[in-house]
Amino acid sequence: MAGESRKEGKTIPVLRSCLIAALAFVFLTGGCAHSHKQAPPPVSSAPAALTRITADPSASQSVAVVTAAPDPESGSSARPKDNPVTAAANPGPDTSPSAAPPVGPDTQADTGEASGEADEGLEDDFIADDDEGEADSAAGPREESLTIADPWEPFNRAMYHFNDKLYFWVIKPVAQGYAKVLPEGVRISIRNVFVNIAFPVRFVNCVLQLDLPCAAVETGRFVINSVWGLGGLFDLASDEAINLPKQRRDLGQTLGVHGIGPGFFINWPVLGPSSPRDTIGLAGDILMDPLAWVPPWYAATSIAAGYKLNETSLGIGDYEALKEAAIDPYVAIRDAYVQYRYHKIKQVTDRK
Amino acid sequence: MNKKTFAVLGIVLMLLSALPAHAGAPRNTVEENVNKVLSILRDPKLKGEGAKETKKAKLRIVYDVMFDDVELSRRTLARNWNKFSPAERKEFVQLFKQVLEKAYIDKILSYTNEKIVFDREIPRGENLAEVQSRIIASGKEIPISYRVIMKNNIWKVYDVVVENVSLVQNYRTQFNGILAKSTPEELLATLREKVKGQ
Repeated sequence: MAGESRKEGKTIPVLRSCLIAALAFVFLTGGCAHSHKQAPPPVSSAPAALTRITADPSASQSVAVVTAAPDPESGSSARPKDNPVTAAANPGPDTSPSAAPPVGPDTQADTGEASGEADEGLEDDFIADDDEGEADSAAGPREESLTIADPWEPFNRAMYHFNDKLYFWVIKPVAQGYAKVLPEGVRISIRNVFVNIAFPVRFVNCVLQLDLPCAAVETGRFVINSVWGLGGLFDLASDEAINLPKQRRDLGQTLGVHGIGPGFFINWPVLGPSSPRDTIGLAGDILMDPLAWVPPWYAATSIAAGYKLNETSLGIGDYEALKEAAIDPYVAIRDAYVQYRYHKIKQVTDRK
Repeated sequence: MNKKTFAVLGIVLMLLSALPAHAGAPRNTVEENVNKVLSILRDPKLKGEGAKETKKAKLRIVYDVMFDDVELSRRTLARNWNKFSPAERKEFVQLFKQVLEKAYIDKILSYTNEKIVFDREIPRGENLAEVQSRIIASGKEIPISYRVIMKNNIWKVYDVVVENVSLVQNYRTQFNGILAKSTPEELLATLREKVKGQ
């Protein structure tokens, strides 16, 4: 498993020096991009989550990352809440000096006797960003911060079961057979080619998000991976030496960055978790993907299916693990989707 | 003489500055524990199926040192915590721990060669912090953050955030939904089932 990433480096040791030269070139064109990348939290390194979230009928990963999250505006800037809100709601634990035992009564080893009010600060996790309004209104307990309306729940749950069966009865067995035929390294290269061709999707979204460093990184990646990565077979740009990781940008995210909320939760058959905003985003992303324009319509569809199959083969076990860990898998997936999309948008808005 | 005084002073200063630095080093604590986990996973003496139970037993010990399971349960149940009697809370903490073990132990046992890199530590108030790390495997990176809380001068993990998805929040949403319709006792029954059946 871990050997695969090495393989890319080993396969082309000779090209290393060329890459250094390429790196110099990239520094000139996208130098600022490179430098900004070091400082803030890694923006682009959130790969598998979506595969995981939608693992069964997952939306094609890079081509179109599906979307949802509460309005970025409402939550992104509210971190300070930790102190004021908590302090108000709960004079006990959180205001006491950290070292002092009083933190203990309810949190200490015995699970008992927590006093009522002391517990209300509980939900204010770091994420509990957007509940300030509620906190003011009533001293009452606050809901968890990241939620999404789910008026279609009966439909969504039905689709969850449909997708679940689709995965276990059809997609997974096919993907397992496929994985037997092609070694993992080959499948990763196939993924790389798809991802490389979908460059316009990411580039356009970088630009629409007014994130020029991101656009520069993507351009550098496209040049390096197309030329020295042999048409995208190898993702050399992500290599440590070059360190230009893929910028996962999608149109749903772009809409979110510009203040458009997700609306409500939709669990599409085959495509999986989404929202009105992200569905529109997905459609737009597909239109920007050159592979969607391959002439006869069924060719484009087959390509998309092939990509999906390839992705699934690389993520077998992810959905199973998520489902196994959950008490209510439908809610677990919906929540993972909400959290993932929320942070994907927040990462962009935070940097501005 | 003078030199000696300086040396002593220097050492004292170093010690003084080292103390709070150590207590304030959530990253070190987490990294230390993760390294313990890795050394168990990679122990050549514990190879093969037969050693699996031994490995699990050793991992459980590290888990208890590394995690604050009461804090984790409290934050997961959030305001519903108040609906639980002390006895129910105790049982919940135990059951939830087992649910998590069951869900993640195989995944953890499968990690052997993956590289783990520790990045930044973000303070979140005086006794809270978040430690960021990445697992590098198969040419892709999985960001994992540990949220830690300091009690009695020890940092313990109360939430793990994988790819920006908080474990505590994920379960909180599920439990909230269940507890909106069911009693704590019914939830406990569901968890008992979950732990029993595979």
